[in-house]
Parts: sequence; C-alpha cells; structure tokens
Amino acid sequence: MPIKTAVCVKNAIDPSEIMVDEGDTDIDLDFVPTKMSDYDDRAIETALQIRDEFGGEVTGLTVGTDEANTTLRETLAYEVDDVILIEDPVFEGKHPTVTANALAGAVSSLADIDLIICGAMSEDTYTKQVPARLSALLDWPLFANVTELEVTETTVTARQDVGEGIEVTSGSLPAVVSVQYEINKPRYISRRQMLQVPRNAGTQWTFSDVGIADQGEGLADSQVTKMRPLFTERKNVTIEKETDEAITELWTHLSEEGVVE
Amino acid sequence: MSDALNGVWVIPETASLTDELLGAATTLADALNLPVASIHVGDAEATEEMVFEYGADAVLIVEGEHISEGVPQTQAQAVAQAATTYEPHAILTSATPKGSELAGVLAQHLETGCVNEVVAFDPTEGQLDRVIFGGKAISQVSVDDTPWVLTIEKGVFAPPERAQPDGETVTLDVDVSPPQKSVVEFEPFEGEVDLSRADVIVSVGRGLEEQDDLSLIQELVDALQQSHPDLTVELGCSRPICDDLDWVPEERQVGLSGTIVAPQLYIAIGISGAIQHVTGIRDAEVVVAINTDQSAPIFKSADYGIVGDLYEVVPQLTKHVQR
Repeated sequence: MPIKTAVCVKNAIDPSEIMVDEGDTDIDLDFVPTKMSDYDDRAIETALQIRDEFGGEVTGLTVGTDEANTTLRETLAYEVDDVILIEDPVFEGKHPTVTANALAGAVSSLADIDLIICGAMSEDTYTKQVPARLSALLDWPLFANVTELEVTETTVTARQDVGEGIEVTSGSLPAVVSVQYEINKPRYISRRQMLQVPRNAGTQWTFSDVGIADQGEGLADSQVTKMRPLFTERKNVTIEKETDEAITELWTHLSEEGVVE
Repeated sequence: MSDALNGVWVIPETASLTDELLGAATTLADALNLPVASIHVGDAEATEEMVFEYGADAVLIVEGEHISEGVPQTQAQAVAQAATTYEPHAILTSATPKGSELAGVLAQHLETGCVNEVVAFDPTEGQLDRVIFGGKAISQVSVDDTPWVLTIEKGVFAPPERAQPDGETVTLDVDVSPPQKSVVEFEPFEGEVDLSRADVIVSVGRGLEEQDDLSLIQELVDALQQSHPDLTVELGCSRPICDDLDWVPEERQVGLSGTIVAPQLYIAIGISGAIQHVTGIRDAEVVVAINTDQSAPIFKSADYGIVGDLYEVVPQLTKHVQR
C-alpha cells in the first residue's frame, strides 16, 4: 500500500548573511538572502526514501511568500510530486502558531496524508514549535528529533534523540515526525536539475484554501516586539609567527587569562 | 489553598535541571508578586522536598491513568487540564528535547503562545528574550494571553538559595486519552561524556584529513588533562566530523545540533566556523582557533588565532603543554 507524505519546508533567513556592526541597535533584514532551512533537505530525503520503498506521493508544503520560490524549486528538483505554497501575507511564514494552523489545514485539505515530516528546527529562529503544534491540532502522535525512522504501511518506529540518550518509540500512522540532521544524507541534486524546474511550478494556496481565512490574525498568540544584535566580545588576536613562537605567545596569553597553568 | 496554584508553574523534567528551573520561576514570580507551584506529572524525578527547598509554595501532583507512560503529548494533555482548572500565569519547563515537545503541545491545547529557550525576561512588561539567527540576535517576544508557556534555556538562571521546605501538596485527578505511541526502550548515550560541563574542550573539524589523525588531537587532550588534573578536558568536534564522516560519536558534537558548551577554554582546530557551530560556543570564556585559512569565519569568533597547518601546530602545542 502506498504512503502519502507531506514534507514541510521553510524558506529561512540565512543567518550567516546577517551583518551586524558594533553599536547597531537593531537588525536589518532587508536584502538578507533566504534559503531552504538546513534540516529540511533531510526531511525531504526521509520522505523520498519512504516513497522509494512503498510507492505513494510526496507533497512539499511551505507557508510564506513568493520569496520562497527558490526553496520551492529546490524541493521540486528532488522530484517530489508537488509543492504547495500557502501564502501568508501577514506573518510571511514567520509565526509558528499561524504556520502550524496553515499546515494542519493544508494536510486536512489534501486528505489521506499518512505522514508529515518536518525538520527538527529551522535554521533562522529555531522556535521548534511547528511539529508539536501540528500534532496537537491534528491529534496525531508526534515523533520528535528522530535520528532513525522505520515505517510500515500502518506503523512508525522511531529512534528519538531525547538529549541523554535515544528513546525508541512506536505508534501507528497517521503521524507527525521531526527529523534530526544526522538521520540521512540527502541525495545529490545538480544545478541542472534545479534549473530544469519551471519558474512557476508548484501550486499556490491562500488561507481560504486551508480553512483558516476567517481566523485571520487572531491565530497569532505571541508577537516579536523587537530584535536586537547580540555581540559576543572576542579579542580577535591573530598570531602570525613561526609555529614555535606562535605557540609560546598563545600560551602566555592563555596563562594571563588564567585558563591554563 | 488553590491560591498558591494560580501563579507561576514549573514542570520539572529531570532532577538535575530542577534547581535552575525554579531559579527562573522564582525570579519571574517575585517580580509579578505571584506564588510558585511545581507540577509533578507521572514519574517526576524531582521530589516534593527538593522543590520546596528551592522555593516552591505548592506542589500539584497530577494523577490519572496513562500519564506515567513517559509520552510528552499525554503529559501535555494532563497539564492542560490542570491549567484550565487553576489558571496559572505562566508554565515553565526546561529547554530539553522532551520539555520543548511538551511545551509546544501544551501551548496548542491551551491555544496560547509559547516561547522556547528563554534566556532573560522583563516580567512586568511581559517581554521574554531568546537567541536567534545563530547567536547574532536577541528576539524579544511577548505572549498575548496567559498562561505563557515557556521553556527555560539551560545554564542561564542561577538556582535559588535553599530554604526550609514550606508548602502544601495538592493532588488533582485528570482524565486523559490513551497515548498514541509507546516507549519501547531507552538507550542512554554510552560513556559519560557531558560536553556541557567540560572545563576545556579541544575540538576538531574538517581540517583533519583522516580518521587516524584523530590521535594527534587526542594527544593534545591527554596532555592538557595531565597538566590540569583538576579540570575536565574533553575532545569535541564539528558537525561534519560526526554526521557526515562518523569519525567521532554524536555525544561529542559541539553546536546547535550537538551540545551547547561553556568551557573556560575552547580550542577549535581545523574548524571553519559555520554559524551553527559558533552559536554552540558563544558562552566559552576563551576561544582559540587554529586554521590554515586566514579568512575562515572561526577567527572572528576567536580570542586568539594561529594561522597555520594543524599537522604542524598541534604536535608542537602538545609538546609545549607536556613541558
């Protein structure tokens, strides 16, 4: 029996591209590039492996704006069956509660989804709420922080990283799974595969299509009131000398700091 | 009696984090002039005596079928029922994997806001701080309605002073549905490596060419350990060394997807300094970087940098330490 999977991807702000200068009091996100959040290719690979084994369909879901286009094309380049952009004009996919409600609505609209797979966290804000909220909204079991997943046509067995060890858990489909980075190594997609994806491929949905239009902004239960730069003061002393001299000098610094004897 | 149950709640998950969790809770409660209650769901490791000593005014034991089966979703359902009964102002748990799972499900059941990994707060303004963008920014968040559901970042809040235990214990029976999954077994991570508590970490990245060369790094770890017997010196690594190459066990991975560390000395060897790695070393007291590439981002996150080949620098550094 084939398995129908929805895989959630986020078009994240690339944190390595954020520039902050000493003295800045806020963060300027204009012109900061976005990219597929770095756990999400693992989520896609997990879904593809299940399709390889059981047949079925993989549908990519994202909540956001047109800015997610490159991420959606990348998702399609992995040869998923379809991607759906659920347009979120107000929060642009950045509010975990709104996103979870939109995704849950989409999964209900799609019907017959057996499994939802998400990354364990997003690369930009790591709120870690979407999989948990999805499971509560749909009343499906949650397998969080999964490092190994085994599915049959009706069941899920997961190795979950619970910090102090691995908890092996099992339950039945339908289910929500969030995957850790080490779960797999995504298959390679070439630049050519990326370019072969048509520019306007995929499907666009609105909040009406996922049944949450009437709830509007009322779904938001928290607000980001301010973002400010965080500086970790480092001395940035670069020692450019012959190795033995450099080591002696390094050791002198470390002794003065009192971190070595 | 229920007066002590409408303030700030903690849900202790592990005994070791209970003290700092109550540190955060009492700070919040004092500012808001509210009592603190500790909610024990199922087989809580924290005891009544322990939480009273750390300043709890009441303990609420939530009982019912299924809630001892170790499934966070079921526990969330139980706490949601208790919260509907007593209407607390805030519900705090530790920012562990299971704590985050519980918090997210709980917040959705209560249809309220959730803020994970809180590092600071301004209680009267209702502002909660968390770190985002790989440690480049603080996001200040407010929750619209009570209860606020929060997970508290590890190692940030000081434990409260221990006091004479004083408070009452209340029991509440709840009715939750059977869990949708079961815990088959638990495999604790092997060894007793806890990088979050190490004093010195020598960490290696992609600059290492072969797995066998790990011995070079281990020799430096051993030399530092021998010359500093009072400190805990550990080997760490970056994500590719663990996840892509499988050269070092997972428990030694430093960074957002591994362990967040706070040693007094962190030595990054052949590590380029990806954002998810440098976020994990933000609380290190002194950071040393050794890398051949002068433009590697790790140097921006380091106090002292040596531009050089690790195959030359590390053995000499080991010798220097051994002297």
